[in-house]
Amino acid sequence: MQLLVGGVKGGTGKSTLAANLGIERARHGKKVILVDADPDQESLSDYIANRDEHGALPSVPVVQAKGSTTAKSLQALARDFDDVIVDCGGFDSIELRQAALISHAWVVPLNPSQMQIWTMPKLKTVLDEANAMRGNAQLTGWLLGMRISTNPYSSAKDDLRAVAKAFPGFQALRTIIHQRAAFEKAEKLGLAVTELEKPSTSERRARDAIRELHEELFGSITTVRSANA
Amino acid sequence: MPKPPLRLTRPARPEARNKQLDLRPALSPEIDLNSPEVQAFSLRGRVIVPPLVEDGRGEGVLASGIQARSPVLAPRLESSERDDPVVDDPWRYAAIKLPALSGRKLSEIADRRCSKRTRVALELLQRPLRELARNHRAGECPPLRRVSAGVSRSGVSLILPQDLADDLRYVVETRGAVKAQVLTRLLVPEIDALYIKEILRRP
Repeated sequence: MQLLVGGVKGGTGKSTLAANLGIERARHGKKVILVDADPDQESLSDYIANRDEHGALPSVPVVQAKGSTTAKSLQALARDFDDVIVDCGGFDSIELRQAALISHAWVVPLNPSQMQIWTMPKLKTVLDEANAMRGNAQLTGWLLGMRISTNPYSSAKDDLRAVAKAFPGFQALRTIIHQRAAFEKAEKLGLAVTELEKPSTSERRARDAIRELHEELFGSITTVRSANA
Repeated sequence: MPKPPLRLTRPARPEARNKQLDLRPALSPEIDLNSPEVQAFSLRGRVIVPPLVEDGRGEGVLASGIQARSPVLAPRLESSERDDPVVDDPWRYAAIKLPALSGRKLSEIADRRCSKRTRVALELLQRPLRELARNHRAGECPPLRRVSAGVSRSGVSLILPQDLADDLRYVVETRGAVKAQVLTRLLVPEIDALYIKEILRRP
Protein backbone atom coordinates (compact mmCIF):
# COMPACT_ATOMS: atom_id res chain seq x y z
CA MET A 1 0.00 0.00 0.00
CA GLN A 2 1.14 3.52 -0.74
CA LEU A 3 0.33 5.56 2.36
CA LEU A 4 0.60 9.32 2.39
CA VAL A 5 1.12 11.07 5.71
CA GLY A 6 0.65 14.74 5.14
CA GLY A 7 -1.10 17.97 5.92
CA VAL A 8 -0.64 21.66 5.43
CA LYS A 9 0.33 22.50 9.01
CA GLY A 10 3.73 21.95 10.55
CA GLY A 11 4.42 20.28 13.88
CA THR A 12 1.45 17.91 13.81
CA GLY A 13 3.55 14.78 14.18
CA LYS A 14 3.69 13.61 10.56
CA SER A 15 7.30 12.43 10.58
CA THR A 16 6.92 10.80 14.00
CA LEU A 17 3.86 8.95 12.76
CA ALA A 18 5.48 7.90 9.47
CA ALA A 19 8.55 6.58 11.28
CA ASN A 20 6.52 4.68 13.89
CA LEU A 21 4.21 3.14 11.31
CA GLY A 22 7.08 2.24 9.00
CA ILE A 23 9.03 0.54 11.77
CA GLU A 24 5.91 -1.30 12.93
CA ARG A 25 5.30 -2.53 9.38
CA ALA A 26 8.88 -3.77 9.19
CA ARG A 27 8.44 -5.52 12.55
CA HIS A 28 5.49 -7.32 11.00
CA GLY A 29 7.84 -8.68 8.34
CA LYS A 30 6.70 -6.36 5.59
CA LYS A 31 9.11 -4.94 3.06
CA VAL A 32 8.53 -1.27 3.69
CA ILE A 33 10.24 1.88 2.55
CA LEU A 34 9.88 5.37 3.96
CA VAL A 35 9.91 8.32 1.61
CA ASP A 36 10.95 11.69 2.96
CA ALA A 37 9.15 14.13 0.69
CA ASP A 38 9.90 17.18 2.78
CA PRO A 39 13.10 18.61 1.29
CA ASP A 40 12.85 21.60 3.62
CA GLN A 41 13.11 19.67 6.89
CA GLU A 42 14.23 16.10 6.17
CA SER A 43 12.97 15.05 9.62
CA LEU A 44 12.16 11.50 8.58
CA SER A 45 15.62 11.04 7.09
CA ASP A 46 17.13 12.28 10.34
CA TYR A 47 14.93 9.91 12.35
CA ILE A 48 16.06 6.88 10.39
CA ALA A 49 19.69 8.03 10.25
CA ASN A 50 19.56 8.18 14.05
CA ARG A 51 18.06 4.68 14.09
CA ASP A 52 20.88 3.41 11.91
CA GLU A 53 23.46 5.04 14.18
CA HIS A 54 21.95 3.23 17.13
CA GLY A 55 22.05 -0.01 15.18
CA ALA A 56 18.37 -0.67 15.80
CA LEU A 57 16.77 -3.55 13.94
CA PRO A 58 14.91 -4.14 11.73
CA SER A 59 16.49 -1.69 9.33
CA VAL A 60 14.02 0.51 7.56
CA PRO A 61 15.20 2.19 4.37
CA VAL A 62 14.40 5.81 3.69
CA VAL A 63 14.78 7.78 0.49
CA GLN A 64 14.07 11.35 -0.41
CA ALA A 65 11.81 12.47 -3.20
CA LYS A 66 11.05 15.92 -4.45
CA GLY A 67 9.48 17.85 -7.24
CA SER A 68 7.33 16.85 -10.14
CA THR A 69 8.79 13.34 -10.39
CA THR A 70 7.64 12.37 -6.90
CA ALA A 71 4.66 10.35 -8.13
CA LYS A 72 6.77 8.44 -10.66
CA SER A 73 9.37 7.71 -8.00
CA LEU A 74 6.68 6.39 -5.65
CA GLN A 75 5.26 4.18 -8.37
CA ALA A 76 8.72 2.78 -9.05
CA LEU A 77 9.21 2.04 -5.35
CA ALA A 78 5.80 0.39 -5.08
CA ARG A 79 6.98 -2.25 -7.54
CA ASP A 80 9.71 -3.36 -5.15
CA PHE A 81 8.14 -2.84 -1.72
CA ASP A 82 5.01 -4.06 0.04
CA ASP A 83 4.42 -0.66 1.56
CA VAL A 84 5.57 2.83 0.67
CA ILE A 85 5.00 5.40 3.40
CA VAL A 86 5.42 9.01 2.32
CA ASP A 87 6.00 11.87 4.71
CA CYS A 88 5.28 15.30 3.20
CA GLY A 89 6.12 18.71 4.63
CA GLY A 90 3.57 20.72 6.56
CA PHE A 91 2.46 22.88 3.67
CA ASP A 92 0.72 22.63 0.32
CA SER A 93 3.69 21.33 -1.62
CA ILE A 94 4.25 19.88 -5.05
CA GLU A 95 5.26 16.64 -3.32
CA LEU A 96 2.01 16.46 -1.32
CA ARG A 97 -0.05 16.92 -4.48
CA GLN A 98 1.98 14.37 -6.41
CA ALA A 99 1.60 11.82 -3.63
CA ALA A 100 -2.15 12.52 -3.35
CA LEU A 101 -2.52 11.58 -7.00
CA ILE A 102 -1.35 8.02 -6.60
CA SER A 103 -1.60 7.03 -2.92
CA HIS A 104 -4.05 4.44 -1.65
CA ALA A 105 -4.59 6.17 1.67
CA TRP A 106 -3.96 9.62 3.07
CA VAL A 107 -3.57 10.05 6.82
CA VAL A 108 -3.78 13.59 8.14
CA PRO A 109 -2.47 13.89 11.71
CA LEU A 110 -4.52 16.59 13.35
CA ASN A 111 -4.88 18.01 16.82
CA PRO A 112 -8.23 19.68 16.38
CA SER A 113 -7.18 23.04 17.72
CA GLN A 114 -8.58 26.10 16.02
CA MET A 115 -5.38 26.87 14.11
CA GLN A 116 -5.22 23.36 12.72
CA ILE A 117 -8.90 23.21 11.84
CA TRP A 118 -8.46 26.37 9.80
CA THR A 119 -6.15 24.43 7.48
CA MET A 120 -8.96 22.06 6.52
CA PRO A 121 -10.39 24.09 3.60
CA LYS A 122 -6.99 24.07 1.91
CA LEU A 123 -6.62 20.33 2.54
CA LYS A 124 -10.04 19.73 1.09
CA THR A 125 -9.15 21.72 -2.00
CA VAL A 126 -6.08 19.54 -2.59
CA LEU A 127 -8.07 16.35 -1.95
CA ASP A 128 -10.92 17.39 -4.25
CA GLU A 129 -8.58 18.44 -7.03
CA ALA A 130 -6.65 15.18 -6.75
CA ASN A 131 -9.87 13.16 -6.77
CA ALA A 132 -11.06 15.03 -9.83
CA MET A 133 -8.16 13.39 -11.67
CA ARG A 134 -8.31 9.97 -9.98
CA GLY A 135 -11.51 8.80 -11.63
CA ASN A 136 -13.01 5.81 -9.82
CA ALA A 137 -10.07 5.50 -7.45
CA GLN A 138 -11.30 8.15 -5.05
CA LEU A 139 -9.02 8.93 -2.12
CA THR A 140 -10.34 9.50 1.42
CA GLY A 141 -8.54 11.74 3.87
CA TRP A 142 -8.30 9.90 7.20
CA LEU A 143 -8.07 12.34 10.08
CA LEU A 144 -5.98 11.02 12.93
CA GLY A 145 -6.17 12.64 16.35
CA MET A 146 -2.48 13.20 17.06
CA ARG A 147 -0.69 14.75 20.02
CA ILE A 148 -4.01 14.91 21.82
CA SER A 149 -4.02 15.88 25.47
CA THR A 150 -4.32 12.97 27.90
CA ASN A 151 -6.78 15.03 29.92
CA PRO A 152 -9.92 12.84 30.12
CA TYR A 153 -12.10 15.92 29.70
CA SER A 154 -10.50 16.80 26.37
CA SER A 155 -13.12 17.18 23.65
CA ALA A 156 -10.63 16.35 20.91
CA LYS A 157 -12.35 13.12 19.82
CA ASP A 158 -15.70 14.78 19.35
CA ASP A 159 -14.08 17.78 17.70
CA LEU A 160 -12.31 15.51 15.25
CA ARG A 161 -15.57 13.81 14.29
CA ALA A 162 -17.22 17.20 13.86
CA VAL A 163 -14.38 18.30 11.56
CA ALA A 164 -14.70 15.13 9.48
CA LYS A 165 -18.43 15.68 9.20
CA ALA A 166 -17.98 19.28 8.12
CA PHE A 167 -15.54 18.37 5.34
CA PRO A 168 -16.89 15.64 3.07
CA GLY A 169 -14.16 13.41 1.76
CA PHE A 170 -12.55 13.11 5.18
CA GLN A 171 -13.20 10.54 7.91
CA ALA A 172 -11.99 10.43 11.48
CA LEU A 173 -9.96 7.38 12.43
CA ARG A 174 -10.97 5.52 15.57
CA THR A 175 -7.46 5.53 17.03
CA ILE A 176 -6.26 8.55 18.94
CA ILE A 177 -2.56 9.17 19.55
CA HIS A 178 -2.03 11.09 22.75
CA GLN A 179 0.81 13.46 23.51
CA ARG A 180 3.25 11.29 25.47
CA ALA A 181 6.91 11.56 26.42
CA ALA A 182 7.34 8.04 25.07
CA PHE A 183 7.48 9.41 21.53
CA GLU A 184 10.31 11.80 22.40
CA LYS A 185 12.21 9.04 24.19
CA ALA A 186 11.81 6.66 21.27
CA GLU A 187 12.84 9.37 18.82
CA LYS A 188 16.10 9.98 20.70
CA LEU A 189 16.90 6.29 20.41
CA GLY A 190 15.79 5.99 16.79
CA LEU A 191 13.10 3.56 17.87
CA ALA A 192 9.37 3.26 17.46
CA VAL A 193 7.41 3.46 20.71
CA THR A 194 6.51 -0.19 20.14
CA GLU A 195 10.20 -1.06 20.60
CA LEU A 196 10.82 0.59 23.98
CA GLU A 197 12.12 -1.89 26.53
CA LYS A 198 10.57 -2.20 29.99
CA PRO A 199 7.88 0.31 29.14
CA SER A 200 6.22 2.41 31.79
CA THR A 201 2.44 2.65 31.92
CA SER A 202 2.47 5.74 29.72
CA GLU A 203 4.88 4.12 27.26
CA ARG A 204 2.67 1.04 27.07
CA ARG A 205 -0.29 3.25 26.21
CA ALA A 206 1.68 4.95 23.46
CA ARG A 207 2.74 1.52 22.18
CA ASP A 208 -0.82 0.24 22.22
CA ALA A 209 -2.04 3.30 20.35
CA ILE A 210 0.45 2.75 17.53
CA ARG A 211 -0.45 -0.94 17.40
CA GLU A 212 -4.13 -0.07 17.27
CA LEU A 213 -3.51 2.41 14.48
CA HIS A 214 -1.43 -0.12 12.59
CA GLU A 215 -4.27 -2.61 12.87
CA GLU A 216 -6.82 -0.01 11.86
CA LEU A 217 -4.85 1.05 8.79
CA PHE A 218 -3.35 -2.20 7.62
CA GLY A 219 -5.39 -4.88 9.33
CA SER A 220 -8.40 -4.53 7.08
CA ILE A 221 -6.45 -4.50 3.85
CA THR A 222 -7.15 -7.38 1.60
CA THR A 223 -6.31 -6.33 -1.90
CA VAL A 224 -5.58 -3.07 -3.61
CA ARG A 225 -6.76 -3.43 -7.14
CA SER A 226 -6.23 -1.25 -10.13
CA ALA A 227 -9.12 0.97 -11.12
CA ASN A 228 -9.18 -0.83 -14.45
CA ALA A 229 -9.13 -4.30 -12.95
CA MET B 1 -28.61 21.20 44.60
CA PRO B 2 -30.55 17.92 44.88
CA LYS B 3 -28.66 14.70 44.44
CA PRO B 4 -29.20 13.40 40.90
CA PRO B 5 -31.02 10.05 40.73
CA LEU B 6 -29.05 6.93 39.94
CA ARG B 7 -29.34 5.63 36.37
CA LEU B 8 -29.60 1.87 36.25
CA THR B 9 -28.75 1.55 32.56
CA ARG B 10 -25.60 2.64 30.82
CA PRO B 11 -25.81 5.77 28.70
CA ALA B 12 -26.28 5.26 24.98
CA ARG B 13 -23.13 5.53 22.94
CA PRO B 14 -22.97 8.05 20.12
CA GLU B 15 -23.61 6.29 16.85
CA ALA B 16 -20.26 7.22 15.39
CA ARG B 17 -18.47 5.52 18.26
CA ASN B 18 -19.89 2.12 17.46
CA LYS B 19 -19.94 2.46 13.74
CA GLN B 20 -17.16 0.56 12.01
CA LEU B 21 -15.47 2.85 9.55
CA ASP B 22 -15.01 1.72 6.02
CA LEU B 23 -11.26 1.91 5.86
CA ARG B 24 -10.71 0.31 2.54
CA PRO B 25 -7.81 1.98 0.77
CA ALA B 26 -8.41 3.64 -2.55
CA LEU B 27 -7.81 1.75 -5.75
CA SER B 28 -4.70 2.43 -7.80
CA PRO B 29 -5.67 5.31 -10.05
CA GLU B 30 -4.91 5.31 -13.75
CA ILE B 31 -3.41 8.74 -14.22
CA ASP B 32 -1.19 10.10 -16.95
CA LEU B 33 1.44 11.73 -14.78
CA ASN B 34 2.84 13.58 -17.77
CA SER B 35 -0.40 15.30 -18.68
CA PRO B 36 -0.54 19.11 -18.48
CA GLU B 37 -3.46 18.87 -16.04
CA VAL B 38 -1.43 16.81 -13.60
CA GLN B 39 1.56 19.13 -13.97
CA ALA B 40 -0.62 22.18 -13.37
CA PHE B 41 -2.26 20.56 -10.34
CA SER B 42 1.14 19.67 -8.88
CA LEU B 43 2.64 23.07 -9.48
CA ARG B 44 -0.10 24.76 -7.53
CA GLY B 45 1.76 23.35 -4.54
CA ARG B 46 4.80 25.18 -3.25
CA VAL B 47 8.12 24.24 -4.79
CA ILE B 48 11.19 24.18 -2.60
CA VAL B 49 14.09 25.46 -4.68
CA PRO B 50 17.37 23.88 -3.64
CA PRO B 51 19.90 26.27 -2.12
CA LEU B 52 22.82 27.40 -4.23
CA VAL B 53 25.89 25.26 -3.90
CA GLU B 54 29.52 26.19 -4.22
CA ASP B 55 29.74 25.70 -7.95
CA GLY B 56 27.02 28.32 -8.33
CA ARG B 57 24.88 26.24 -10.63
CA GLY B 58 22.01 26.05 -8.19
CA GLU B 59 21.89 22.28 -8.32
CA GLY B 60 22.16 21.00 -4.80
CA VAL B 61 21.94 17.43 -3.78
CA LEU B 62 18.19 17.75 -3.83
CA ALA B 63 18.13 18.52 -7.52
CA SER B 64 18.00 14.84 -8.31
CA GLY B 65 14.50 13.43 -8.28
CA ILE B 66 15.19 10.96 -5.54
CA GLN B 67 18.20 10.28 -3.42
CA ALA B 68 19.04 7.57 -0.95
CA ARG B 69 19.94 8.69 2.55
CA SER B 70 19.97 5.49 4.49
CA PRO B 71 23.14 3.43 4.26
CA VAL B 72 20.98 0.36 4.63
CA LEU B 73 19.46 0.26 1.22
CA ALA B 74 19.53 2.48 -1.77
CA PRO B 75 16.59 1.42 -3.92
CA ARG B 76 17.36 0.91 -7.55
CA LEU B 77 15.51 3.24 -9.85
CA GLU B 78 15.50 3.34 -13.59
CA SER B 79 17.54 6.26 -14.85
CA SER B 80 14.65 7.42 -17.00
CA GLU B 81 12.64 7.92 -13.84
CA ARG B 82 15.22 10.26 -12.42
CA ASP B 83 16.03 12.34 -15.49
CA ASP B 84 13.05 14.62 -15.54
CA PRO B 85 14.16 17.80 -17.26
CA VAL B 86 11.52 19.78 -15.39
CA VAL B 87 13.16 19.06 -12.06
CA ASP B 88 16.65 19.75 -13.34
CA ASP B 89 16.11 23.45 -13.78
CA PRO B 90 14.13 25.33 -11.13
CA TRP B 91 14.01 28.33 -13.46
CA ARG B 92 11.44 26.45 -15.51
CA TYR B 93 9.01 26.59 -12.59
CA ALA B 94 7.11 29.82 -12.40
CA ALA B 95 4.30 30.37 -9.95
CA ILE B 96 2.98 33.90 -10.03
CA LYS B 97 0.14 35.80 -8.45
CA LEU B 98 -1.80 38.11 -10.72
CA PRO B 99 -4.09 40.93 -9.60
CA ALA B 100 -7.60 39.53 -9.28
CA LEU B 101 -8.85 41.55 -12.26
CA SER B 102 -6.08 40.28 -14.53
CA GLY B 103 -6.77 36.76 -13.30
CA ARG B 104 -10.42 37.10 -14.27
CA LYS B 105 -9.50 38.51 -17.67
CA LEU B 106 -7.10 35.65 -18.27
CA SER B 107 -9.79 33.16 -17.30
CA GLU B 108 -12.25 34.79 -19.66
CA ILE B 109 -9.81 34.71 -22.56
CA ALA B 110 -8.94 31.07 -21.88
CA ASP B 111 -12.61 30.22 -21.59
CA ARG B 112 -13.46 31.94 -24.86
CA ARG B 113 -10.65 30.04 -26.57
CA CYS B 114 -11.62 26.75 -24.88
CA SER B 115 -8.07 26.73 -23.64
CA LYS B 116 -6.35 26.93 -20.27
CA ARG B 117 -5.10 29.89 -18.29
CA THR B 118 -1.60 28.47 -18.13
CA ARG B 119 -1.43 27.94 -21.85
CA VAL B 120 -2.61 31.47 -22.63
CA ALA B 121 -0.24 32.94 -20.05
CA LEU B 122 2.67 31.02 -21.53
CA GLU B 123 1.81 32.23 -25.01
CA LEU B 124 1.56 35.81 -23.79
CA LEU B 125 4.92 35.69 -22.04
CA GLN B 126 6.94 34.52 -25.01
CA ARG B 127 7.30 37.79 -26.96
CA PRO B 128 7.84 40.31 -24.15
CA LEU B 129 10.19 38.07 -22.21
CA ARG B 130 12.36 37.34 -25.24
CA GLU B 131 12.34 41.03 -26.13
CA LEU B 132 13.32 41.99 -22.60
CA ALA B 133 16.18 39.49 -22.63
CA ARG B 134 17.35 40.89 -25.97
CA ASN B 135 17.31 44.40 -24.52
CA HIS B 136 19.32 43.29 -21.52
CA ARG B 137 21.85 41.54 -23.70
CA ALA B 138 22.20 44.82 -25.62
CA GLY B 139 23.01 46.54 -22.34
CA GLU B 140 19.62 48.17 -21.80
CA CYS B 141 17.42 47.92 -18.76
CA PRO B 142 13.93 49.02 -19.80
CA PRO B 143 11.47 49.87 -17.03
CA LEU B 144 8.54 47.54 -16.53
CA ARG B 145 5.03 48.73 -15.80
CA ARG B 146 4.30 48.59 -12.10
CA VAL B 147 1.50 46.27 -11.10
CA SER B 148 -0.64 46.89 -8.04
CA ALA B 149 -1.68 43.47 -6.90
CA GLY B 150 -4.01 44.30 -4.03
CA VAL B 151 -5.07 41.80 -1.41
CA SER B 152 -7.01 39.41 -3.63
CA ARG B 153 -4.81 37.69 -6.17
CA SER B 154 -5.06 34.93 -8.69
CA GLY B 155 -2.35 32.30 -9.02
CA VAL B 156 -0.93 30.87 -12.23
CA SER B 157 1.70 28.15 -12.33
CA LEU B 158 3.76 27.64 -15.44
CA ILE B 159 6.44 25.36 -16.75
CA LEU B 160 8.51 27.48 -19.09
CA PRO B 161 10.26 26.09 -22.16
CA GLN B 162 13.98 25.79 -21.51
CA ASP B 163 14.97 28.67 -23.80
CA LEU B 164 12.42 30.96 -22.17
CA ALA B 165 13.63 29.90 -18.73
CA ASP B 166 17.17 30.76 -19.82
CA ASP B 167 16.02 34.21 -20.93
CA LEU B 168 14.20 34.70 -17.64
CA ARG B 169 17.26 33.69 -15.67
CA TYR B 170 19.43 36.11 -17.65
CA VAL B 171 17.00 38.98 -17.08
CA VAL B 172 16.57 38.28 -13.37
CA GLU B 173 20.29 37.92 -12.76
CA THR B 174 21.39 40.96 -14.74
CA ARG B 175 18.60 43.08 -13.39
CA GLY B 176 18.89 41.84 -9.82
CA ALA B 177 15.15 41.33 -9.94
CA VAL B 178 12.66 38.88 -8.45
CA LYS B 179 11.45 36.22 -10.87
CA ALA B 180 7.75 36.49 -10.05
CA GLN B 181 7.85 40.30 -10.21
CA VAL B 182 9.32 40.28 -13.70
CA LEU B 183 6.81 37.76 -14.97
CA THR B 184 3.84 39.53 -13.40
CA ARG B 185 4.87 42.91 -14.82
CA LEU B 186 5.30 41.40 -18.26
CA LEU B 187 2.13 39.39 -18.19
CA VAL B 188 -0.42 41.92 -16.90
CA PRO B 189 -0.15 44.43 -19.80
CA GLU B 190 -0.25 41.56 -22.28
CA ILE B 191 -3.42 40.19 -20.69
CA ASP B 192 -5.00 43.66 -20.80
CA ALA B 193 -4.15 44.05 -24.49
CA LEU B 194 -5.38 40.60 -25.43
CA TYR B 195 -8.56 41.07 -23.41
CA ILE B 196 -9.37 44.20 -25.40
CA LYS B 197 -8.59 42.43 -28.65
CA GLU B 198 -10.35 39.14 -28.08
CA ILE B 199 -13.17 39.94 -25.66
CA LEU B 200 -14.13 43.61 -25.79
CA ARG B 201 -13.72 44.18 -29.53
CA ARG B 202 -15.16 40.87 -30.54
CA PRO B 203 -18.36 41.26 -32.53
